[in-house]
Amino acid sequence: MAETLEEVTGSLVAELEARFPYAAALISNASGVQIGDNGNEQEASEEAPSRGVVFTVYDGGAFVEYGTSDLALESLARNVRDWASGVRRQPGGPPIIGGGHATIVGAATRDFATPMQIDPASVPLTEKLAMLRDLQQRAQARDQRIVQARTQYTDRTQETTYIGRGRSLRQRVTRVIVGLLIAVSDGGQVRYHFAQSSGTGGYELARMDDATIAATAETALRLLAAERIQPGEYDIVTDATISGVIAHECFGHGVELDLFPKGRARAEQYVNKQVAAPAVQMYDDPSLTGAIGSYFFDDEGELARPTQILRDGVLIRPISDFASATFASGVHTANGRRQDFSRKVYARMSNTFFARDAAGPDAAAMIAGVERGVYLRQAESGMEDPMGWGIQVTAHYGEEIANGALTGRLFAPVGVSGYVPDLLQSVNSVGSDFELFAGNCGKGHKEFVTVSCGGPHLRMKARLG
Amino acid sequence: MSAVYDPAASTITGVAPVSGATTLNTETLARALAATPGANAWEVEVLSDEQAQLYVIGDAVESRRTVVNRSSHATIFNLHAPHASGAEGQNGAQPASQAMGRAELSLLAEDAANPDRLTARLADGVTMASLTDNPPYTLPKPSEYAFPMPPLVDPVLQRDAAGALDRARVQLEVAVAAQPNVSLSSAEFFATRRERSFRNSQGVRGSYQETEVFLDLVLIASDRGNSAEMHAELKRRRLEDLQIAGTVAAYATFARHSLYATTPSTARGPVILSGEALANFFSPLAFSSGNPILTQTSAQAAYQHLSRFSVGDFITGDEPRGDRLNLSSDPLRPYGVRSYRFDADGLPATEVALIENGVLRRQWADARYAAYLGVTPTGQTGNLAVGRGSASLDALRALDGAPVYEIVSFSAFGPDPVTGDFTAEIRLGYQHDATGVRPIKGGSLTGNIFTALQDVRFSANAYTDGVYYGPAAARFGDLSVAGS
Repeated sequence: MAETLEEVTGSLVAELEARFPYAAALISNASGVQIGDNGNEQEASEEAPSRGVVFTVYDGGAFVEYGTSDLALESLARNVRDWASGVRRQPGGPPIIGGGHATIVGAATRDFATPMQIDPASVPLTEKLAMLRDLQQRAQARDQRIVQARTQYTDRTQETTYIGRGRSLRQRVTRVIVGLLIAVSDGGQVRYHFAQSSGTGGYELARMDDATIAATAETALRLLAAERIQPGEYDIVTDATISGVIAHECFGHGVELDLFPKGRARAEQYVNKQVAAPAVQMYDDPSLTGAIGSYFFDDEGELARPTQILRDGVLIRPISDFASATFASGVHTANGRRQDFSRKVYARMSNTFFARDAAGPDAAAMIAGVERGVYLRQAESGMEDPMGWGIQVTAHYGEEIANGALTGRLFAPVGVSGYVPDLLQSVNSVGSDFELFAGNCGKGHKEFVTVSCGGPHLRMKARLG
Repeated sequence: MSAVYDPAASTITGVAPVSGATTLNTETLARALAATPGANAWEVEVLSDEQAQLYVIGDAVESRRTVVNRSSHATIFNLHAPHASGAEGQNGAQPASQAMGRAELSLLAEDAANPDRLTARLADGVTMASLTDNPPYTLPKPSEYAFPMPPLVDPVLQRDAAGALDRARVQLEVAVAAQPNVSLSSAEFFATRRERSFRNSQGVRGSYQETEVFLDLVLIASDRGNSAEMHAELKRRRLEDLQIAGTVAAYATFARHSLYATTPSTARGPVILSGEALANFFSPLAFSSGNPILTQTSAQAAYQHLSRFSVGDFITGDEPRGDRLNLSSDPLRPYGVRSYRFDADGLPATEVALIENGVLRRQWADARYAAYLGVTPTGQTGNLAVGRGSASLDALRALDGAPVYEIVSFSAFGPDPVTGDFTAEIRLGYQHDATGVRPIKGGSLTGNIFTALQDVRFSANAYTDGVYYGPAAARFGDLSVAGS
């Protein structure tokens, strides 16, 4: 009887485990569909499928890997053995990290799958196109000044199998995203706004209600009158997207343990120290049901579980992968992720957020407490600076607050910059609401993985420009 | 140049082939597509990559990786009657009598291994294409001329990518050791050898090889308990073009200056962008952003009613007061990172002047949007060539009473591709004033790409990051800095 890819891979891992302190393999397969509709043009494509396997060994000093898309069993075995024959055990390196792992009992393969009501693979493409066309038409009909209403739908299923450390784990994670962008023109300038619905789950996530469409169109139209903000220090209220990007950039990237042995993380000197206002709690949690950055185990076979990063404003724990936990002697968390089989594992975020305060105020109450400030809405992007602790977050727009009320005057775009501890220690109100938003996260400008970030509304002081 | 051009086969010979068999080649796919009912037109592309990766922390190797990745892609076009709510006619006019659907498939080795499976996969692609409606257009036909052949292969990387990276690491260590108060935090080296083959249903066919090297470099300067880092990401075709010694010297200097940098004061006035910062202005790296200049000079934006100016207009709205921008797409630049022989549609690489004397002269157009607008296709954009000015760096830094900021590095420069608005944190810059020069960091620069170009002076000195080829510095007359 013919062997399967998993069986061949398991045999090869066993051969490698006999020679090296650590060996493992990750088989990955991604598939799905991406469609778009702007009223005049439609696209339908497979969502960038990729299939491959990566073998990892720790040779006693470094992590050495071989990744390939060639999954023909005979050539795979030959190529892996050829590659491994050139890898030698190195003396003198740090021992592989031994503690902190989630316990798995038994050697039997464990299977995981995203819970869903409707498997996107079971939905005909015609139905997906019709859903998107309906959304496009509802958006386009909102106003004559709309020059383009563009809709996008993506479903992507990632199947991964981890074999190593005496464990065999399989997971099937399905992510669905529906996006809407509305561009408007007053005959001169063009402005736009966007909305998104996303998560891990099934086709039941593929919807956008009329209120969201109306709000997106209305904001796009209001942005035609937007001004640039006068640079300076402001009291700000952040919506959940801005709160989330602040979390992601400040103490998401800033506590990725792979930066510690590189001497790049100032956070290394601040573990168990106060870095934010006492009201601030922050987590990374890949085990959240339905969040788009969730998974059941990371790309190194570590079972998903939450990591509390900030407790009462005190930095208590970084996030890590196998290599960084080894080289920095840190606790191993379930954050070893790779873009795909062709790229290395790093310590990466999953769902990163500030916790809400169940007894905290709502957004209106926060705004009511601001004499002069800006309500920042809809994050566009951010960039980390783990060593300098600078931060850059760009908001799609902000709305002026005067005497505790929104004035209707919009600024766009608005940049937030500053020194991370100053920013987070200025947090003076944590809201009772909570939302997560999808995004792509890179290391610098590469190594992209799907994440979410979010939290409640926050009120703080920041430099805007 | 190691490659020899064989016009008959439109391939490069004389360089070592990428090892291993490509199980799904363009010939196999072309035959299968020609026999697929409903595949009225098609394009196929096969990419074969071999990559060596080396990761270094300080003076130790953290990881070595070897990657072999072969991928095959088919784009299938299907002509059909428009669906009930289908496409409008070309230029958005009357309802068309025929629509063209398009679907993209990525095919795996196992698809090639089983003819029935391949047939089924291609039939799925036809079904997918038959369900979407777009205005029809015709795929490019073979040119009467052979594809141009800019040099794209570094024989050093082609011969032994992993060995070349080991030697580059030594060069890096030597270069860092020569820098006082600076150490290597980490470095990542990627060396790629790629073979690209293409065919379409009109008879266009070609293939070529290329190499690429990437260096992600972090240097840390330390002095009296204070530390600061500078991060560089460099991509080139040839290892020698990384210019490791010079690059390390420049970024080490920046790192040392960053130790003593202070937050700039809030101000509005002249700002100089130089080196990497100016390259980012014209060719942003930020992943979440498009390129406003390329977006706004595209036929696609014009077709989709997103353009802010038309051919013949000043891109700045009003007539510029300073130097006038000249900007070309140049996919023929030797060893340019965005150089190519033919684009994704099989159009031959061509240098195209997009902006001349500040005026949009021509929109760049791929095959599809050229057809939609009824213009000649230019092919996809290549490297960006920006005309230099006549000013020296000293002249640009001259004071007019007020201080002048010069920014050399942003945290991330991500302008809005539609509006051109930007706000970007200053990773490192300098304040030139009557007392001298002092480093600055923090705060942000705010402006709009197009209005900023209304008042600009370009340096005579040149700079390149492998994609951007243009002046080393530009002085913009009116930008805002948000600082302390």
